[in-house]
Amino acid sequence: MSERFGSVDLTNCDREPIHIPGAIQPHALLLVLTEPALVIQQASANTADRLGVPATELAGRPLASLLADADLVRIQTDLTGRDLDAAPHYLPPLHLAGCAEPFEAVLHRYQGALILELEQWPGAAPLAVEQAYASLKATTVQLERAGTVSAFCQRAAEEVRRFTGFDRVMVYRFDTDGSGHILAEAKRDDLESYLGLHYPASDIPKQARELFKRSQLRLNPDIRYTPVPLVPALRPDTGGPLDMSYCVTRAMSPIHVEYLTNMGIAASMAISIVINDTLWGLVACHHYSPRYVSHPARMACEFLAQVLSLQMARKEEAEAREYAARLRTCHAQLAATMVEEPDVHRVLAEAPDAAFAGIEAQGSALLLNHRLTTRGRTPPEPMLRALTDWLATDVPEAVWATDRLGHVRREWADQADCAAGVLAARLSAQPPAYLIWFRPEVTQTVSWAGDPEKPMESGPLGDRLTPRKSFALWQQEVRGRSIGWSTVELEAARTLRQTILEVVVRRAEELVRFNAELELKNEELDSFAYVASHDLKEPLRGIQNFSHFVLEDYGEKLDPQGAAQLQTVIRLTGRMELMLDSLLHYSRLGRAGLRAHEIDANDTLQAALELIAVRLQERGTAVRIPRPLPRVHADPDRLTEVFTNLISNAAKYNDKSEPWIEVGWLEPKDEGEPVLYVRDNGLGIAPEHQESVFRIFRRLHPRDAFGGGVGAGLTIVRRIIDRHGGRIWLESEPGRGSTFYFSFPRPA
Amino acid sequence: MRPAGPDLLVTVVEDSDEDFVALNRVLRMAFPHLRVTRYRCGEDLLEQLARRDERLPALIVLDLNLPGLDGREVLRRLREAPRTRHVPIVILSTSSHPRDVRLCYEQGANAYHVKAMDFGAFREGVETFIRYWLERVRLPVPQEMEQP
Repeated sequence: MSERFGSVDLTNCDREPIHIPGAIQPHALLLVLTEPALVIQQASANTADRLGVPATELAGRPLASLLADADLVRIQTDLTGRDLDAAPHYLPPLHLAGCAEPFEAVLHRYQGALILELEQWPGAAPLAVEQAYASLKATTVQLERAGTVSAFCQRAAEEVRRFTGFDRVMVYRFDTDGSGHILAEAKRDDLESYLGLHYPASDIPKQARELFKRSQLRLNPDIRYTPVPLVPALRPDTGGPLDMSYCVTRAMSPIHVEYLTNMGIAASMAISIVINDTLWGLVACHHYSPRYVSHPARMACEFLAQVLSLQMARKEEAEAREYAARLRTCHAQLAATMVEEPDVHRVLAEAPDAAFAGIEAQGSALLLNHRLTTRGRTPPEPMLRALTDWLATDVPEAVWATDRLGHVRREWADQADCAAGVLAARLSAQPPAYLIWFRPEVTQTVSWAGDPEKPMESGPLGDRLTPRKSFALWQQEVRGRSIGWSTVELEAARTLRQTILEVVVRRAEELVRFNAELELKNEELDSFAYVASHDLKEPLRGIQNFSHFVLEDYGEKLDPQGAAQLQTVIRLTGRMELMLDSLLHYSRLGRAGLRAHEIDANDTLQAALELIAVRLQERGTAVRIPRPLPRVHADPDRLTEVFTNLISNAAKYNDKSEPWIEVGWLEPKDEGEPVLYVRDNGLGIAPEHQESVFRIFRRLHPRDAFGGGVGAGLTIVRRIIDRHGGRIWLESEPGRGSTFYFSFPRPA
Repeated sequence: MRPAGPDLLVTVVEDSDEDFVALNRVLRMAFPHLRVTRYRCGEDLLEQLARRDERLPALIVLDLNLPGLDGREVLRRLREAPRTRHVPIVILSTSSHPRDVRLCYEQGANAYHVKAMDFGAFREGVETFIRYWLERVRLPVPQEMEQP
């Protein structure tokens, strides 16, 4: 055997030529025939034992010499009437010359060779067709009713065990990477369960999976056998080996034999479940003593596998459709909420889904506008930030997924307990903004029914190739890997990304439009204030001039009271002019470009103090500057104006015998800006007036008290600080003094 | 210093009667010999000065806020026309907007005065610029009278 297969071990079994073993199992005979003459080309070497004719003598002889006429005619009919290409076809039992017992026969054609396989098993109890039919009918009905795919497979496993009597029947499911796991199991009660067991892809190598895909059923009634070679070894017509891909009785791979032997298995059968030309899984049957399955029972099993394939395709499609529909519903709800709620973070945080958009993940995170929102199990924030930075610089795809982050980036391998699988959708690369879903590594979510504490069993051929070894190997292979991300999940991520981007873009567009409108309004307001103050000034000047003319021209005719009244008219027009000027100035502040840059606040403070030096001297106000001011980001002219207004107000509203003003600053908190302040020991402002002091023309004192003024200074101060994007507030206690605090933000 | 004599003509473009009365009052009282011509709008002035036989003023006092042709445009055209290019123009306006001030100097105004609200200040301002332009500085004589 070993010389036929060459030297095969676990490292090269992926290349083992298992489709051309050149040998069969000893319970069967194999004849290779020509068409249409049905002349024997090759025969298995055991014809001498079983039929009394050496295989060497059979070569070149017609099949007719072995068969009764009626059987021969039936085979000839089958050749024309049925499609035998690559599809084994069961024949009724055949009697061959030289053997009293009938053979169960199966016939197929492949690569120009007609292959007749004849099986015989002493004491085989054939399943009655009626029995098989009734059982199948009941089973298909029950299968229909099974809810989930795994419940469905469980029923199928139980039925196959009933038909065949195997000790253990398992439904084995292949994953996309070729690895697999036991989805359902029906077994003898005393056997250890393999349910949930995972196998690495190497356990069923690629070419074995390919063969399983082609031939629907394979049976090894007794694995402890000596293979029977074909005679001659090579096809006389092609000179090459016979391709036995579809042969039911093909000799097994020695690796497979070793595997089964180690598990203590004596007989095995495998039925393929193929969905849409993909090997979905296997119904794998094991028996701990030799076991033959008669053709009717096999047919029933094959039929069951067919039903399983069809139903499974429907069930899986339905499950996928259901999931896709659920994802769509989740998305529709999110999209609808986003129309109302501008904050994407809130929308995602408050949605009912366990992870964003209903995608099945253990954790999800949103980084947008430098803010982070997470749900479920995610890596800690520093790792999330590092991940998004890396995605932004190294991953060009807008939507990207991996089921093994630790393989992509070694340093994140230790995050496998929550982030082995990552699905990321980019919202922005600069600054990084991402939607991310996380899945833990599979080994953390998978267990199998076998007792993991039980010591490793060693088979008769050593401890390799045992289920436990397989599971351990599989665990090793999937370390750091998560369940893969499906197309519908990637699509859902893509759709949510699209929706958020649209919302963000729409918001930005709205903002641009609002800003343009606001700018227009400001401009209108400015020109309105300008025109109004300009046009109002003209008649005002007329009033004042003519009052003057009256005083100049008719002064001697007026009595002192009349002259005083005219003086009042002149004074009032002067006051109105001041108010108009303030309005004009206020409106200009809204539009005049800010020339904000890093400046030394000490320079602007000095400029302001020089401007109001006379006023300060008049009142004997002391100005204290405890320490030099910091640098700030502001327009120097405007900051001078802020100081001028605040300091002259502080000086003005002061009734103390020793008035003082302190200009200082507070250290920034965290990464904030320094806060400047102007403090006085003046009148103070009652709490109820602390907001209204900023309103234009709002005065707290009688007109002529404290040197008058129109009441626009603080309004102008606040507008200047607003224009810088800064903040101003005050603390004050009546009778004790006030402190005005203000700060200017630094540009990002 | 030459006192502003009767041969000197000052042209005022001012649509507000009250403002003109105030200006004229200052001029009459401080410079009784000065001849003053007033136009209510810029179109009238431009039309008049375009005539070759019309005597050119020694100084034009121009308001900005005018009906019809805006004062800024009148200024531009006066500076454009070869005949009036050299005539000193003093802007007398209510507007203190920096943009107006800059624009007028760019267009060739010789001085910009904001009409003071206080009559005293107004009087002082007017007297100052009349004295300066008509008594202090040397102005070009009409070309036909130019002598080496």
